[in-house]
Amino acid sequence: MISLRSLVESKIPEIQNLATLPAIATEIMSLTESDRSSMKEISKIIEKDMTIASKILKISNSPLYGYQRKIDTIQKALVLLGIKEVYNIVVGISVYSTFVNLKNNSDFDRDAFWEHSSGCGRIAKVFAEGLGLKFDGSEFLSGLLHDMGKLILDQYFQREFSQILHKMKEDDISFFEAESELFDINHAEVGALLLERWNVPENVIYAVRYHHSPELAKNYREMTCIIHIANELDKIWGDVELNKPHSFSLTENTGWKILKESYPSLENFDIEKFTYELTQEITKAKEIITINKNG
Amino acid sequence: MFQASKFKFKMKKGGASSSDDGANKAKPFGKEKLVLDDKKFREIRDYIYDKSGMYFNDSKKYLLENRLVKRVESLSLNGFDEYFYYIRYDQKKEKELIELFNAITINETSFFRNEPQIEAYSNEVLPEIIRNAKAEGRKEITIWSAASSSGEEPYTLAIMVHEIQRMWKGALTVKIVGSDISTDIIDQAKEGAYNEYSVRNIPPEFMKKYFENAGQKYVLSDLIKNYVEFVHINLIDMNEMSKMKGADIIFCRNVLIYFDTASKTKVVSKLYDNLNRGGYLFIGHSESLHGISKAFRLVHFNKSIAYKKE
Repeated sequence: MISLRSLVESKIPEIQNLATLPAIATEIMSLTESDRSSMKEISKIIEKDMTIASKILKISNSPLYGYQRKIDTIQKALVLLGIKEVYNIVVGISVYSTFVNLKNNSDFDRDAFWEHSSGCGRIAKVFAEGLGLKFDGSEFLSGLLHDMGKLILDQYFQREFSQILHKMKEDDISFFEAESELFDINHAEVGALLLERWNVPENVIYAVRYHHSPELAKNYREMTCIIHIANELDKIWGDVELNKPHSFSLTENTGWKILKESYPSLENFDIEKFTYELTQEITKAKEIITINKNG
Repeated sequence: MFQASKFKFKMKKGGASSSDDGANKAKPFGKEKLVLDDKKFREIRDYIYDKSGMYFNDSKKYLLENRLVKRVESLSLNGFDEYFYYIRYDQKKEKELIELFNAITINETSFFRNEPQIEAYSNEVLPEIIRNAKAEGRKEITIWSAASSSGEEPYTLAIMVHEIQRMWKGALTVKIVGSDISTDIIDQAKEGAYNEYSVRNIPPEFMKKYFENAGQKYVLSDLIKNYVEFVHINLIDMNEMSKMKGADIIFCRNVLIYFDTASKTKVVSKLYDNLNRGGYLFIGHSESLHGISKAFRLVHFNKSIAYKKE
């Protein structure tokens, strides 16, 4: 096995300077986290950034949300879509625009990457709501960032990244399986190393680090399980093409089993209803990425 | 190992929720346009889910609204509030519920109805059943379309069986049974002649291969027709149901919505009994067995779900 870990670790400070969570996202997060934020304050922050503000209006007026009257101010969007939804869109757009200009390994489909990340975040959100758990939006952020390590590998360790993609195809295995066989570090850990240097809640770092192995998370286990499950659900329900699983069964999933230990009432969870709810989240994720891309 | 070629059918309008008019806005009728507000939508949606097991998520609001407008109109009621009261408390509420379910499942009968389910059936479920049957040295597998109506569903299932015949020919016979409560509709199904509307979702290459154009009608080839046997079955008649033992795949789409919870539970448990171990049940693409049966394992496929008997 080749040691990639030390290389990644030494490169992280440099990466941190190039790619960091946009100010607007941190600012919005700190506002919604503390309960004293008013709609006025939030719209002020958003309106400072013309690009993001106009994108939010565009997204709010898309047929997905089904409002027949035109939404022409951020305040209206906040009232109709809700603070949480607008917050998720802002974080999504700003993270996307930070990374959109990074170099791209030709084999790696960035659009699909963002659709999956954003889909995973949205599924995590409806899942947490369905379970009655509150994470103040960090479940969405975790979903959005869960595969951040792949972007870093693609950008800064192209040779290794290509090796992983090659092995995936050769052996018909998943990205995680391929990298685990080749190297002493995986994309979940790489992502977490960078996020440790960002101003994000600690539970996000845990969820990203253990999204493939929720049983190893010593803290924030519930959220880690939720991201683990959302990741699998988006792979099966979304348009991910590369290494798509054939089928998925929630009740057989490690994350689900762990959650059920803490919440025996999950026995009666309406999986069908949740499934039909998540389909619209995936459509929204896709639409938002498209609007984002086309400006 | 034999690698089946993946079937990917063209989706009409965006994603898993490929309903015929899902994205249409409510059309105005008469002088004033009825508007279903979000709160009333959720109340009615939850009521329908409770009564039928069919779920409309927020993105399907317009679909539901369109269908409800027609019901409100035909009962000459003043809006959705009155309608919601009517279906819960009116003397004719039972009759209206049937009308409502008819309205929300209208156009559900066509070839290749809900592509993701047909893809899951062709790409995953059918190959798995065939592999296991061969491994167990069985000689026959059975696919049952329970409520086959004018035959579009069992014939769709037959087309896909025929398409992957390399996987089973010589080793197995594949039996496809279509059943319905109406003998008239069974006779129609046996004829295998369809109008433009029924065949609109059929991929062009299958259209060319398996249909002949006879004036206004599209006639299915005997090659496919011969796969399917039609029988008369009333799903809530437990004696008749007992005749259907030993199925490997059951399609029972948009039927259970018409039964109350007690009958639904009975029918589903009978469907479970009739399935072989390892077999799958498909229900309608937005239907749910939540609260009806815990016997199955729910399996997610690409953009659809199915229930497996383990």
